[in-house]
Amino acid sequence: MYELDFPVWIRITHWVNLLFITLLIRSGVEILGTHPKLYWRNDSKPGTEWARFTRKTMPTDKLYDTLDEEESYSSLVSMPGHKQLGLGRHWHFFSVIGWILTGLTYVILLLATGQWHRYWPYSWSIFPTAWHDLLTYLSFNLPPLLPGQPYDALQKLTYAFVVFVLAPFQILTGAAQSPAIEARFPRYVRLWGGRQAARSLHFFGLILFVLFIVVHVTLIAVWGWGMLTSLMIFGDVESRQWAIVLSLVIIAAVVAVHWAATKYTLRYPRRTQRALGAVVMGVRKWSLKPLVSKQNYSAAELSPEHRVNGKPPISDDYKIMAAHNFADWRLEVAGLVENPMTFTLQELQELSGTQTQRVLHNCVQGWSSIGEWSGVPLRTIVELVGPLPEARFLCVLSMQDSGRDEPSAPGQGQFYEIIDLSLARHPDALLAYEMNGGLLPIEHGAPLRLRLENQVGFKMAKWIDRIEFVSDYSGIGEGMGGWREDNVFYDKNVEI
Amino acid sequence: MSAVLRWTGIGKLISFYRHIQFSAPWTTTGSASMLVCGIGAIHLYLLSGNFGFPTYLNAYFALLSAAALLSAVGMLLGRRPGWGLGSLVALAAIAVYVASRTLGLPGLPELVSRWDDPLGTFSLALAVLLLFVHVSVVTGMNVAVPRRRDWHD
Repeated sequence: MYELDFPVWIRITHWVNLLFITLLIRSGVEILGTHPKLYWRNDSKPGTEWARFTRKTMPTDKLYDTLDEEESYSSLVSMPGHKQLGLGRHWHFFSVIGWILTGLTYVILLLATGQWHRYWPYSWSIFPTAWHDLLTYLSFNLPPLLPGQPYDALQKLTYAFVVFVLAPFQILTGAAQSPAIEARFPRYVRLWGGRQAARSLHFFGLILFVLFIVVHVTLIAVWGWGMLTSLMIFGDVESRQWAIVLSLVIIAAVVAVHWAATKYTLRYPRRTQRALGAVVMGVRKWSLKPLVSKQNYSAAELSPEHRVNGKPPISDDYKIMAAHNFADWRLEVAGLVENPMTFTLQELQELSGTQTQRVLHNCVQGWSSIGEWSGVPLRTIVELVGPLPEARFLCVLSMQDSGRDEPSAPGQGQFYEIIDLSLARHPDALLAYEMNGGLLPIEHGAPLRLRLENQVGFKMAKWIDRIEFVSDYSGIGEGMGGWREDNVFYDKNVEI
Repeated sequence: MSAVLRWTGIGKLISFYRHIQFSAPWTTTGSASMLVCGIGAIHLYLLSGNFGFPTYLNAYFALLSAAALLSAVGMLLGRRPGWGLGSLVALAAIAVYVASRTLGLPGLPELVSRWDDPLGTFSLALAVLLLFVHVSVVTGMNVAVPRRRDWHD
C-alpha cells in the first residue's frame, strides 16, 4: 500500500508549475492579441470569426493587411504586452519547454513512486461519490476525503482531468499549430478539425486552465489555506502559520518574477530575444526543423480568399515593372557561389522541374489559408549557382521598403530574410511565380515569392529581386536573421 | 464622474467588455434557454414534490415555471420579450430565495439561514448565469437569434 502524501518532488513541481503556467497564460494572451480573432475554418476568411477580442474594424474599400489588425494589450494580462508578438512568442515557447519538462518530471515520478494512485479512479463508484461531493459543496459544506487518500472524489477526478487530459490537450493543440508539424503530418491537423479549430480549442483550454486556477485557489482558502499550503510546502500540517506566510512569499515571488521579466523584456528586447531564442531555437533545431512537408490539399480545399500580410512596394520602379508584367524584372543570385546568375521571369518559368504544391499557409499572427503555389524549386537555383563551401545561408532580399510601404510595421529599410542553406535544399522550398493557377498577384508577392512550408509566413519573403549566399549574417541589418527578427524580435527559425 | 472613472482606471476596467465579442447566436440563445428551463425545472420539482409548502409559494413556483417555459420559447423564436421575461424569472428566483434565507417567508420561518440547500445554490447559479448571458447580449458581447454579426472586414 502506498502512502499518498506530499513528497518533496510534488511540492517543488507544484510551485514551479505555478510559475510556468502563469507565464504561459500571459504570453498566450500576447500571441492571441496579434490576431485577436478566432475561427473554425482553415481559411480564416474575414467575417467568419466566432470570437473577436478587439474593437478595431478594418476598411472595406482599400487594401489592409493583418498587421493592421494587431491589438496592443496591457502588460497586466499579456506578456510582455504592448504589441510585442516576437517577445511574447519567445516567452511562450521558453515557458512551454519548462512546463513540459516539469510535467514530465512530475508524471515520471508519479509513476515511479506509486503516487499515481492519488489520481487513479479504482471504481465506477467514484462518479456517484463525486456527484455527492458536488452537492455537498453546493450546500456550502466540505465533503469527506476518500479513505487513505489526500483528496475527495471530485478533487481526485478534477486533478486527474487537469494533469492527464487538459495539459496534454494544450500541448497537442499547440503542436497542431506548428507549420512544421502541419506540413509533415497533415492528417494530425485534420484530426483537430484543422489549423483554426486547433487554435480555437487551444483557447478553450486556456479558459479551462484559468477557471481551474480560480476554483482551485478559492477551495484552498475554503478548506484551510494554512493546512493545505503547509502540506504543499512542508509536506505535513504541523507548520500552518509558517505555511501561510511562506505561501504568500512564494506567490509574491512569482508575481515579482513576472514583473521583473516583463520590465526587462520591454527594456532590453534584444537581450531577451537572444537569451530566450538560444533555448527555444536549440530545441526546435532537432525537434521541428528536420520535418519536410507531405501536404497535398485538394483543389476543393483552396481558400477562396487568401489573407494578405505585408503591403506591396509603392516605388515607381516597381509600379512600372508591374505595368509591364515584370518583363524588366530580374532576379540576381550572387554572393558565395561559383556561378552568379541573373534570371528573367520567363527564364525562371522555362526552367525544368516546375513544382506545384497545395499547402496550408501559417501566418505568425495565427491566421491561416490554403493556397496552391507553383514555381521553381529553390534547390534547382542552388544547384545552378553552386554554393561555395563556406556558404551557409541565403539572404533573400525584397523590393519592399518596410518604412515606406508598411506604415503598420515598426521599423525601416529593405525587407529581407535569412534562411539556412539546408532549408533551401528542402524539397518543398519553392520560388513561386504562380498562385492558385494564375500569375502571382501583387499583394501576394509578384513577381516572385518564397515558399517554405515548415515555416511561418514572414520567412517567405515576397517581391524578391535578389538572393545572396552568405557565410554569416551577423553583419546584415541588426544581425538577427531577417527584417522582422531585427525590428520586431521574431525568431529566425520559425517552425512553430 | 467621467474624470473620476478615467483617473482611477475603473472606466477602462468597466469598458473592457467592449474588447470581447462573440458570433454564436444559436449557442447564446440555446444556453440562455437551457438556463431558464433549468430554473423552471427546479421550481417545477419543488411544486410537484410533497414538501408541504404554503399555497402561495406553490402558486409562485407554478407561475415561475410557466414563465420560464414561455421565456425559453420566446428566446428560441427570437422574440426580445422572451429575454426580458427570462431575466425577470432569474431576478425573482434570486430575490425569493435570498428573502427566504434572510427575512423569512410567511409560514416558513425554518428556512431562515438555511443556505445549505444544494438545489437552492444550483438555482441561484443558473439565475446569475442567465443574467450574465442577458447582460452580454444587451452590451453587444453576444448576439442572440435572429440577429447575426455583421462583420464584413
